[in-house]
Amino acid sequence: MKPLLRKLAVLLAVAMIPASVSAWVFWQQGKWSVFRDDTVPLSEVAQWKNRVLWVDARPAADFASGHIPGAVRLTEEEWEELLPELLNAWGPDCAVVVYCSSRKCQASGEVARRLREQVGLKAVSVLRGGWEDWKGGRR
Amino acid sequence: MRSLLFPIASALLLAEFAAASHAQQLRWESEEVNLTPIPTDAEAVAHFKFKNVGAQEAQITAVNSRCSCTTPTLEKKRFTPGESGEVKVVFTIGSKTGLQEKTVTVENNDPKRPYTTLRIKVAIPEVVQLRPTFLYWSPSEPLTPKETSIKIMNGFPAKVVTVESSNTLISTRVETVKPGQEYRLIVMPGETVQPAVAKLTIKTDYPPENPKTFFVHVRVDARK
Repeated sequence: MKPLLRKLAVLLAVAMIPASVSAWVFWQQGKWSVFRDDTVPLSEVAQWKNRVLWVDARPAADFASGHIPGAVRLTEEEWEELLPELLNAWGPDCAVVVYCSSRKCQASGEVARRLREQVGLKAVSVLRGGWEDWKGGRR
Repeated sequence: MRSLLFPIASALLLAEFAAASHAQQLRWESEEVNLTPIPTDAEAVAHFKFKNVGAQEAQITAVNSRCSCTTPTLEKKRFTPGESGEVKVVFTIGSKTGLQEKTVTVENNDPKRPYTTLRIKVAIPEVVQLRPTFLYWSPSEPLTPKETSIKIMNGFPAKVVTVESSNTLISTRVETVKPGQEYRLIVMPGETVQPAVAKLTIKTDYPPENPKTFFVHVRVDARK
């Protein structure tokens, strides 16, 4: 029995080498961005007492076919054209939550980063699951 | 018999990996491309080359991008065994800065790997960094000056040429912190009880062919 266990342990150890390399490569490539810490689920946003300013980071056609009530659009492609409307709607008491199409899209993360780093807004989050989660009735 | 367990298991694992790696029809030279445009570039272009290494004709059924900033193009859709092709992705830089990561999904008729995600990473050099680009005075705040930091990045020979305010109630002046490197934009709201907004246009002289312009937004809420 013992030799068999030893062989299994060796097999496991061998398997750990490519697994570790793979994990390191994925980490370097940022493919684990799903674990980014600025995302919030809809259930959490629903409990906030502050006014929420929804920011839609999707293309105009997607926004036109449906969006969260009261949301303003802002995309990196139309940054300077759309930013004034957001800044007019913003207030020091409100929390900004940016969303895009789904869990896989990246636009909301980029827009949120620029709102924090460049514009200087403080409370900016990304809606986990984006429009898909909202539409799916998980609010 | 037991002594054969390890080599057999290892051989089976290796065979499975080998089979998996050869199962796909399209073999990509690289599924990720890193681009480093220069400040004068309006766009960055990535070329994703592939080869049909399968025994059947490969058909690319769709090439989709999630961002309107990336335009993928494909010269043809059907590729005979051994034939090579390329997906060209044009990334429009616009006002973007920093590291941008975008993906393009290629759909094909290979049941073992019907989707391939191509990734482009674009490191866009920032010529001028303004922080913050929004200055706000709340109703209870005194109307004292606020400032935005202007930094010339990466040693670019850029200079701030002019600063224009869209609202005469909001005036500005530029102070030098480090010549050629760092400036301070002082913004002064006029004495008013009415709300006011302004767009400040900061013009530079770099790059000479197409000098970059930056903006700072100002909002003063009505006084209590």
